[in-house]
Amino acid sequence: MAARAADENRRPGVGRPAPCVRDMGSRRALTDIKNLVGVAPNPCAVAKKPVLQKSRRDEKKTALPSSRPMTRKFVASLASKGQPECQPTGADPEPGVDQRKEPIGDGIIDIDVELDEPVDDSDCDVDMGDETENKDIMNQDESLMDIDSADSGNPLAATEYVEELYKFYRENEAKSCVNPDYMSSQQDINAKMRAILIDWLIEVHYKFELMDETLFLTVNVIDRFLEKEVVPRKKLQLVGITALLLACKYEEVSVPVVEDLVLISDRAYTKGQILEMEKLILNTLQFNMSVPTPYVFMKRFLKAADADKQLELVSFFMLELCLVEYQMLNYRPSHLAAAAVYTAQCAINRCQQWTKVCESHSRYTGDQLLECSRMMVDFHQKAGTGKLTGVHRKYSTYKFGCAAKILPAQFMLELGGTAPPPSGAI
Amino acid sequence: MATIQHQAKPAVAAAPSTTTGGGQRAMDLYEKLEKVGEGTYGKVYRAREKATGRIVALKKTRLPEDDEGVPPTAMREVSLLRMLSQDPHVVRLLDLKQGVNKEGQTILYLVFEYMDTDLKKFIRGHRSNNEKIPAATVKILMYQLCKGVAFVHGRGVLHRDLKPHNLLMDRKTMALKIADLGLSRAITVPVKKYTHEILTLWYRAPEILLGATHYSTPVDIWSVGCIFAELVTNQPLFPGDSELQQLLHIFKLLGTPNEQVWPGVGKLPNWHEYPQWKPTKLSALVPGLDADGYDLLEKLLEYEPAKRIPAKKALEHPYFKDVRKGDAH
Repeated sequence: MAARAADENRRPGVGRPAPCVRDMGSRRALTDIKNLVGVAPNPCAVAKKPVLQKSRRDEKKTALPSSRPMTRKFVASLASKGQPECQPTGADPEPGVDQRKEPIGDGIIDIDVELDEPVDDSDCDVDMGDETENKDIMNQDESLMDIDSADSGNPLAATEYVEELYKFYRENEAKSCVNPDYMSSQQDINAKMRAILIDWLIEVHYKFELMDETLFLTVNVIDRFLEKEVVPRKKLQLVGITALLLACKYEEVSVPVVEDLVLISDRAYTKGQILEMEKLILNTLQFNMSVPTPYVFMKRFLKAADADKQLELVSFFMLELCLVEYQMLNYRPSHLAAAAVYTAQCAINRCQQWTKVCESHSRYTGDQLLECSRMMVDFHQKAGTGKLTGVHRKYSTYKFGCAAKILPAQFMLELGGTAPPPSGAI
Repeated sequence: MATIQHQAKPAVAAAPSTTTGGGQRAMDLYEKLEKVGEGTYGKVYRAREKATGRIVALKKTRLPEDDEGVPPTAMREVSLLRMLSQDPHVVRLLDLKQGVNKEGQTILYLVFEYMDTDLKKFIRGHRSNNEKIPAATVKILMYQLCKGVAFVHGRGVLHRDLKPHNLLMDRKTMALKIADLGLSRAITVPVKKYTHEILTLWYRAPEILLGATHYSTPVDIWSVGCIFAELVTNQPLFPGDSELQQLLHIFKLLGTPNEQVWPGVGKLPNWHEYPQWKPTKLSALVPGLDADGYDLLEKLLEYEPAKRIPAKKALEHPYFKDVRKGDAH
């Protein structure tokens, strides 16, 4: 008897439309890469969201109406009528409450901070620690404990296979790495353009409400493809959105329709071009999408660190800052994940912290992580400045726990001595 | 003593090559001999590789230009097979070719090692001859199935469509291999929320039928239990024709679950007040097994997913003690 077609296994055309195509703000798709000359602006992609005023308890906020499926008809209606009216909402929620979705009558509206404007610090008045504050750090049991025994009755933890699985990931992570100098063989693109592309894709990923795995796989696919193929700059964004499509097909339960990717890239490419690029990428990578990314190691190392939500979010903030940085291709996925958890712990606790349990499960000592960790601290310091602030804006929202607001672990830059060469470096 | 014969395998399995339209066309390299099956996206042929004379299976997948591109099922299947194909209990992907048909559609050809039958045909053959599959053969096949499933799970993959039709066999050697990974997916630990519309109805685990969106390796183990019973009796254990009928079939035979036997069952999305049935003895449902066999079957068909025996542990079960001795792998 044949299985019923599963939502995640149906053709993506019958999947959900991307939820927030029209919420991409005023930022035109990768104009910095100069591939949109002569392209008529798509009203849905360029319509500006109202900028939120500085929060005050007695002021009202403006918000966008709830998302609706993006169709050609809807795009046309937006073009002819202009943007829908913004509705005022009630008073501000208390700090710490996710204010992305607030009800108005029966509906749900999205009042997230405008992604193209600097995020106002007052939106996140959450105590994120202080250099001078004397925080009590719990004395962890330093014995090498079994971090899985508590989950032995939980089939979702797959405890009977977890050791074998991570052994396999370690053995295979080198295959997912690229030559950290691959950009030297590209003639028309450079590390800066890669950064612009990935910064934009992080926003697209956020707006489409995709899984974390999808983002890390997208970046991995881009790098492995660029390592093997010379790409002209006008096709770089095409590589990016196609890599996102492929990662969605591999990871997601519902895949965005190709037409949504056309819209999100401001109609810079046609559906046919995306599907052609899809075949080229798959052939170039020999259909190899099953690779360990930093995400799988991150989940394990966070468990070893007995992470709470704050540590998890700050760790992912550190890790996503690295996605944009070409130089971080020098490190293996496991090394990046371990360094992200280490750096996040140091930022939260204001002192160096890397337990024996973390060391045992990550196979990296604090010394081995120090060089990579210092780079993360540096990225953290600069995260809200410059042109590429997508990760910082994302992690400045309540949905992501205002993780970007934590003070950088600056003291790590001042630690004496040079770290030994990292064993995780390529 | 029962032993397993494995087909000879090259020391290093070369990664399948991918050839786009620019390379040699698939049909220049392979000669179609006969159609042996039909899948969601195309046909499966027995074919001969012209250069070597080797018999292969060609799985043809259409990639319509006007649609949404490469189907996720095809992409996952190829990608996961690239990772899993080195195991003797997973069908080997030998090559990958792309071509264009007369209508200008892109065609993807998956070239597999050829296996001369599948477990569905094997069981049907015995049923039509009115004969049981010998107990030793059942044991050999089950051991290989558990080995294959343990390997797949150890690589972080859920098959999600284990059924006799998707288990390929070699009649001579009795080698069994897991195939058709179109519904499979790689999982991350801890496992996330996935679609519940997976698995052919007869082999679908009760947690999925009851609407669970968070599920893991035990869904495949339930299917293994259903296949075990079918090997012994030549009949499907739970042949339901709708989700409700499927649940009622299971409840009638194994008893209606409750919070005692399956904590949390009442909170699953599709749980209602079902008729109350008492469990039937497995020996009455599946006659012909020894005590160890019934014990293993019971452990494979546990209601509570957390208590269902993992494939890795099943391999150590006393039922397989004589097969383990002869297993070189």
